[in-house]
Amino acid sequence: MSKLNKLCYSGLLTILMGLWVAPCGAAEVPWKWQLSLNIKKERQGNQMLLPTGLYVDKERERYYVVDSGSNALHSFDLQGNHLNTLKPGEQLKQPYGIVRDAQESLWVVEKGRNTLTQIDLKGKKIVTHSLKSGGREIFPDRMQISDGNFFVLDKITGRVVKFDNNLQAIQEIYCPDGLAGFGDFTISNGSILTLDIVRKVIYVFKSTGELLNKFDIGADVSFPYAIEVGPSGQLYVLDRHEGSVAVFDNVGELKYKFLSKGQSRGRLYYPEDIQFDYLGRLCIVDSGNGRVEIFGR
Amino acid sequence: MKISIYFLIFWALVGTAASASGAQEKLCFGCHERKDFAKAVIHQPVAKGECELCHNPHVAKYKGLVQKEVERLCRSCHVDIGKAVKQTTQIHKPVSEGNCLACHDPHSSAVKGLLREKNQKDTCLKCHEDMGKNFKYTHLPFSRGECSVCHQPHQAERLYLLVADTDDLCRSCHKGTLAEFHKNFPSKPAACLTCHNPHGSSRKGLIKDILHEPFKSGCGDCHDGKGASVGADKCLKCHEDVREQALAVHNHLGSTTGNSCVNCHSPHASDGAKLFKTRLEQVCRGCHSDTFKNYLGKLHSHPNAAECANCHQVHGSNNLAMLKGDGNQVCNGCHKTQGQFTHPVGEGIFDPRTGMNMTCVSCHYPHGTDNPFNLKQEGSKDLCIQCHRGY
Repeated sequence: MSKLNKLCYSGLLTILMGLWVAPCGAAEVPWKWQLSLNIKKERQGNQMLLPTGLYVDKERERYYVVDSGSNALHSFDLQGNHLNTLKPGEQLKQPYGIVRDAQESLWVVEKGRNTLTQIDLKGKKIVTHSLKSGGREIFPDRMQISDGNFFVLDKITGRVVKFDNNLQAIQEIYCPDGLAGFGDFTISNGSILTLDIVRKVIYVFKSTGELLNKFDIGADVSFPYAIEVGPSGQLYVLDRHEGSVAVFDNVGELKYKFLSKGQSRGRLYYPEDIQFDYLGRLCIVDSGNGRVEIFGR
Repeated sequence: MKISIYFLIFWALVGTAASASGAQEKLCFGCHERKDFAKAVIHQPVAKGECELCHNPHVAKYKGLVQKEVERLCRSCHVDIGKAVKQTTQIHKPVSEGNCLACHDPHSSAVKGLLREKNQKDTCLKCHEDMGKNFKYTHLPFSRGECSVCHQPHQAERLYLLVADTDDLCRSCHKGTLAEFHKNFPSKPAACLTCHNPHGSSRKGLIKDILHEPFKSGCGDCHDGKGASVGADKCLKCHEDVREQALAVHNHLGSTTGNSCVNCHSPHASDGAKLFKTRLEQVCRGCHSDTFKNYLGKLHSHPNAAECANCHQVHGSNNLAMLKGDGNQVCNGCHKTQGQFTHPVGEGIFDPRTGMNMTCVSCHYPHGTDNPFNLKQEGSKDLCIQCHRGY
């Protein structure tokens, strides 16, 4: 066989191999790092010590980040520029999560006080609320506002408790499998999705609390810690120990995983929460690295 | 004609193979005492005289002139065990370490399963020494040395390598007697191990040695008598110090059992003063099996890595990963000279990747890695150029 023929054959073989291998490979990851929210100051380091919560404010086009390490709230613009640092009355005690209501009050979960704390920015007032459900003390953890109601994860029971705007408990969503509890939840299109961290199961409930579906994701994640629903309905699960994100379709099939543990750009170290902003960008509160990493398509 | 040629070739090959293994056997046993390999239960390759299946007669990289690392060698035939281990999270320590020979004799044994010791109990107690203490009252399978009645030897889906869920396992023998022995029990008898030690105890009924104070005086302090489960909020009313710790950013209030306290503690009786359900290592492993699996499989791991409470604040902490301090404070508790002569760490020394203060965990994964000193990456270059890009 001539040298030219040999080259042709080996070239053809390479192309065929490539065509065969491509569809067998893992799904392409569509996410690319875009920016970080952090406050790196020359000779002063990063001012965020342990960010734990994020709220995306569509009206003001801002990100609010809770830094439980310095008991502060930080705001950033959409380009990641730091705008302001708020230490309301120097009195927040281990703030964890944050949302804003329609009346423009910020609501902060203060773990150190075990309260839901209302910060009225206009009235410059701070009011702490201890929550109860059925006479029992609630230990607020994750929180979301939907249709004017507060949904709060009660860490001590692992139940999602719905409160009306007077902070009266009106519904509890609990794990249908025995006494296990949830570690995170999210609300999407009227459904409530919850995550059992230890058993590695995602539950989908109707707004009435009726169980619609559940997915066992144990084979695909090590320590699932937070859940979010993407713009196209895919389920995004943050793996705290692996520093990765696992993406599932709406029947719980793994589509792809991306990111890994570490400190460099785009890597995660003990990430805490995952959310989408209104631009469809994926935001991950990267606690261990003192930043929020934002990925776009 | 053709068929008879094939027939001849086949028997020639069989004959050659047989004489080869026979020759191997003769040759090896010329020096190695045959009787040492001829106990009641003989490993199949030994019985067939196939010494070279495992050993290289001339040279090898591994002790005992074995062809491969022991774990790989064993799994090359015992494929099923290898597969099962990969699919489970609860793995017996010698199995996860690839130390098959901790329990098994690779040649022959007096006991089924090629166990090293004279019986199952002695094999298990060789490591689980604390189980061997002389209890006043013992559980029958334990006193008979029948560990495998309750435990799997290699891997299992359940904690403690149990063959079934604890209550189901207990009920599989104690059928019908439960109600009789629990006449005033406030609900259906369950969660047997919150009161009973499955191996033995100094108390009758195998009740564990240390009792929770309210349990000593009856059930009414905690239970309402209507069968309702007792929430952790009730526990925290007495244990105020724990409540303070649990009001930390990262805490262990998360419930897996309806009461987050009983994730780890027994509400009734225990073998230790802190009323842990079992040894702390096993308590932690119950939820954090991935952490254990990760570091147990690494080439380098932290000594006493399973002593979780040395570094972690078990109820709650305002530090990352529920550590007792930041990434320096915790390590400096033991590694007192670190930071003084090594890479600068601490306040004002910033990690360029994050802008955070450099700490020990900027470069080390404390549980374990495949790199010496538990470094995150290979220490002569890969790790350093993460920050020192100019080099």
